[in-house]
Amino acid sequence: MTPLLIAQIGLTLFVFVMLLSSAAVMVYVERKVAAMLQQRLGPYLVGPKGLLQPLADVIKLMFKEELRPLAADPLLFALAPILSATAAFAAFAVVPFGADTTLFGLLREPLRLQVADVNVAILVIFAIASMGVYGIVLAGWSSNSKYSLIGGLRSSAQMISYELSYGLALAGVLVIANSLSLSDIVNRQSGTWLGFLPRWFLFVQPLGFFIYMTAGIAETNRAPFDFPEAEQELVAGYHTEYSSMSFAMFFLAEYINMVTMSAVATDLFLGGWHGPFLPESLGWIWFLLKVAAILFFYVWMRWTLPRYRYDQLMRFGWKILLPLAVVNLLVTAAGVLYFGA
Amino acid sequence: MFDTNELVLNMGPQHPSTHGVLRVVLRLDGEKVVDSDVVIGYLHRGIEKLSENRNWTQIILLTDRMDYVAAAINNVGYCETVEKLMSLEVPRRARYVRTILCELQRIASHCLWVGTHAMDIGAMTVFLYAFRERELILDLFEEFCGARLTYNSMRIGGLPLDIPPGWDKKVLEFCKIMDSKIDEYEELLTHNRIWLERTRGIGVISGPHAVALGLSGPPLRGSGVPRDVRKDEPYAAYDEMQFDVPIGLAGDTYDRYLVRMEEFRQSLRIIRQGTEGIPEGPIVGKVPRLIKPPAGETYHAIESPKGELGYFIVSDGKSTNPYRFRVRPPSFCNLQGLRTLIKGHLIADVVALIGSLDVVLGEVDR
Repeated sequence: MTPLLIAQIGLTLFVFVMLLSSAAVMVYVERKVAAMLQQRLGPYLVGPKGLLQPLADVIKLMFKEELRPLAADPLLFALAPILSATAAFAAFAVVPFGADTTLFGLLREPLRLQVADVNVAILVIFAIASMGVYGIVLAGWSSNSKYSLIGGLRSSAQMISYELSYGLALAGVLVIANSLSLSDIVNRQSGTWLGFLPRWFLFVQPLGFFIYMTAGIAETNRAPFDFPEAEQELVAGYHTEYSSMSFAMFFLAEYINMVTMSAVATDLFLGGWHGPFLPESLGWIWFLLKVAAILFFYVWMRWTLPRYRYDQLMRFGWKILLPLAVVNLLVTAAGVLYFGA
Repeated sequence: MFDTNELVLNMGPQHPSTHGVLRVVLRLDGEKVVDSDVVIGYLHRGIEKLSENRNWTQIILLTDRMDYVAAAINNVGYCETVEKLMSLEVPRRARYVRTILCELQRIASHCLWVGTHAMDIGAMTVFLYAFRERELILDLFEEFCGARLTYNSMRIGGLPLDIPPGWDKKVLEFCKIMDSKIDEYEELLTHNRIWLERTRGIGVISGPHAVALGLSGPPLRGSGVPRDVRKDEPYAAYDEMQFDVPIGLAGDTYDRYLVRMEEFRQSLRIIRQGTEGIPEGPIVGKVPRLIKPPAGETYHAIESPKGELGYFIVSDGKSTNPYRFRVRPPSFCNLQGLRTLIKGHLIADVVALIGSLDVVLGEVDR
């Protein structure tokens, strides 16, 4: 085994553990930020400032009884949460999160901070994200409960309406970057325009960014588009019948999806690990900061806005976002043709 | 039994947003409500029958348990009905305090309503904001009578206690705080695009139809019928207060929301007038030791936050308990409108409309 291979395996494990802990951190942050917005304290008893709260949550969930409705389909019922969580983890594999590194000179060849550099990374993310919806739909179907079923149906309809504009919003970036590989796309965004404005695609694709973020919220089932689990309408939507760790898997999947969404947004629109003040080797700090900013935005949205209605979201997706995305793509393509890449 | 194209969804009695133990059986076509059946009775405690075996003063604490988020108003309504039956004169000071308490209670009840209604539509933060202010009102009540939810705060013929010293200043201070907080709720909701889309044109009911269904309170006024018991048949000290009765035009969820938001402000206006003009004098009128109303029957209604709260009481003139005690609960009558309102709407609107009617199940079932 070459040192590079060992480093690569280590990196893979590292990403896996980091994703798990990012979900834990997100649970804590979500609760703390929500508490801040709502003028209450949030968790503060478990550990210093409540920092161990996610751990306590997990332990509590582990000791809960695993319940399954009698009429549920046992195989699919068990499979659904696994599918959701696996898809969520897998999608992050192609996301680069830092510049190439030699681990402070330990390695002779540089290591790419990315689990797998696929040259069609974006397509992979799409494919896997679409797999994730199977988890939700199957959960809704196999529970054999009406609330779950409606939740599952809602999510499949929602995914179809959103994946299109989501994809078209990305196409704009692809046209400019002329590549499907995320690390190539990030590297195109280094440097500045006019000496001060970073060359982030956000500034050439503001509309694309807006569409991506909106569709991304729908894609990850977050408020104000959280219909599949709309608590006040469907009790808990597709995971109404789930308990214990299988419930935790859905929870985990939701948060990891959010992290992936934000990481992809950072790579595509916010220049990935490029930023001022820090040397390239510490670029991952910029990356984390940007992801954190987007995640904060998500949490902020969730606790401020009312929920859209399901049919209104459909109308919004098909009649507003999709045409906007098409126009965005056409204008971008025309621009690239005219000015050159 | 049912068409196979329809899905029968049993919403409640255990459901996060049926406001207690309401059960709505929905017949759905996709997510659209084809028809529904509203089932009540899960919180029946037999308050009306119980009252026939309690003496007149003991009943006051039973009325607390009807609309438990507006207990003081229930107390006032009951006491005034008995006073009417006995032709008792209530001193002016007591009537003023009653008015202030009623309006504080109306704000507390509306706080709970705005919070839960917004939460049903998905805006969770408003709920905690509204509860923060409701807490201040509960503190005021606690200082007045020692209890925070079920007050037992009235007596036949007047008040059990005089207001504590300095209490009126605290009430005025609260009014000042509340003024800005109402704007805060409105900032989060009134012009919010999502809120508008979720509430405008949802559950439209015309004025005559609302009257025919027996709706009262904000659901009736939201449809443009200017009926308010406080104005039409003044009780307590409302005849001496200056206030407006807000009405809506469209009769949809949004207008009912706006009506209640304006009622917040009008209530504050009444509280200010009441607290500043509170007269000196006794707090209890000339009440006989043994309360034993003459034989006869009477109906008296007051404006509770939910609508017209009426009491119908029959006394046989011999015993120390009522012969018949009957309540006209506004929530119960307003709930009649639910089936009409939700027809043709989506599941998401069902919870919005339950919230928009502002029902309290304790009062529906009694």
